[in-house]
Amino acid sequence: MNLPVVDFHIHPLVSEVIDEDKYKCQREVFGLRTSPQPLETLLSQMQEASVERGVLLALDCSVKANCSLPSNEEVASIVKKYPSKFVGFGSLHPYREGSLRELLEEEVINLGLRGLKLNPSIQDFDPLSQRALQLYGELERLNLPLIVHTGLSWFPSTSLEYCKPLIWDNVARRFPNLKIVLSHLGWPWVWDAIAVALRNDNVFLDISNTFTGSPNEHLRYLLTELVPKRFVERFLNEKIIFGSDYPRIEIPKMVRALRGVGLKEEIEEAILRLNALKILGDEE
Amino acid sequence: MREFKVVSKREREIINITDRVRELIKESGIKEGLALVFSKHTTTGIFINENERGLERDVINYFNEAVRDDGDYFHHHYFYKDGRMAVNAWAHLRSILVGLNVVIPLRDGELLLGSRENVYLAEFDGPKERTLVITVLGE
Repeated sequence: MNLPVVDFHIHPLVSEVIDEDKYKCQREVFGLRTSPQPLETLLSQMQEASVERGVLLALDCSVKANCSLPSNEEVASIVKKYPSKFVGFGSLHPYREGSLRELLEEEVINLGLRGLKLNPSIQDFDPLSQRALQLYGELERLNLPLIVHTGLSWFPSTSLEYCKPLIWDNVARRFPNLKIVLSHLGWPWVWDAIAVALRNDNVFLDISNTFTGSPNEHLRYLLTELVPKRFVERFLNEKIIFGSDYPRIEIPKMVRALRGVGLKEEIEEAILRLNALKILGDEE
Repeated sequence: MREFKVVSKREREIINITDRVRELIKESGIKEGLALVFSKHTTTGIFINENERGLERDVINYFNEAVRDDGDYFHHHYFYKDGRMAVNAWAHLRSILVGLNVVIPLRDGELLLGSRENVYLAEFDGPKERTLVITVLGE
């Protein structure tokens, strides 16, 4: 029996929020040039893949490009419409003017958002800058988890340096009570990402998207060849969480690929659901 | 010529669009001629066949077997044009087997279909919102 899944990595770039200006931003800043689909399609993709809950990620690109993909308010409005289906994560560019504490209160806490998404490469900020460190401190104080892009950014206009997983070892040690999720298992710096997660209790790894072929090919390679299956099952069983990276990939393809890896049933359940619930503080 | 949307609910699905096509023919006001139904998506197909639930499942199963999901496809690489990985070669290949359009004769403003014939959209990479085009020629 397939247990319900938590998808920790969904960009709600749906036609209800992506107008012409945002579509330009989606193409030029986010690098995604496919037409937005309606929210109904996202819900059907979740249904098709037995995803009971999705974490919707905002992305504040206001400092770089005066746009958000989508904004914190837009994420909050989708969550408000489907509270049992979605958890919302906001986004805040650390170089925004004003008090970070107040911005977090206004744009994350007051909107009912439960974590923060950052992508230093696309947003274009130094993840170890004073202002960024200040933001992590506020997140730790508020007990808000942080999900960050790590791994390849395909767009030459963005910094590859800011995508490196080892950066987050520094952050994890400075803020030991801040839960940090490193996205995409840091590919191609997979063992760097794993090293950071292994030695820091507060660091986790999402396996969203595919980089080396189809989702089946990629996850099988990642979780049985590049990293031996025994290592995944013994060392990373509480560290890896499932994410799709919709709409850069379809959700059913990613869930089916994870189920096809051949991991032990209890490990599969931990990755597809339980580890995410622990990070969200929603354990049953 | 009119565009219309069909929203699929499943990853692989056969959707009967006959009634929608009939409505659009009626709206066109054309009595005698031809209707062309066309899909704008290379991971879908348009075909005519019998409206029978078992057969609809057989169609899906047939294409799943005819074109393997886990083949060694050149298409499965990063696609700069889209800004994402291309991971659906099987859906494109199934689309090629089906084709992207059908032409149906019209008489007295009605589709001249056989008693068992229905018009279907084949969804090979859903769920997605799809745009179809109907062109009605005649008088």
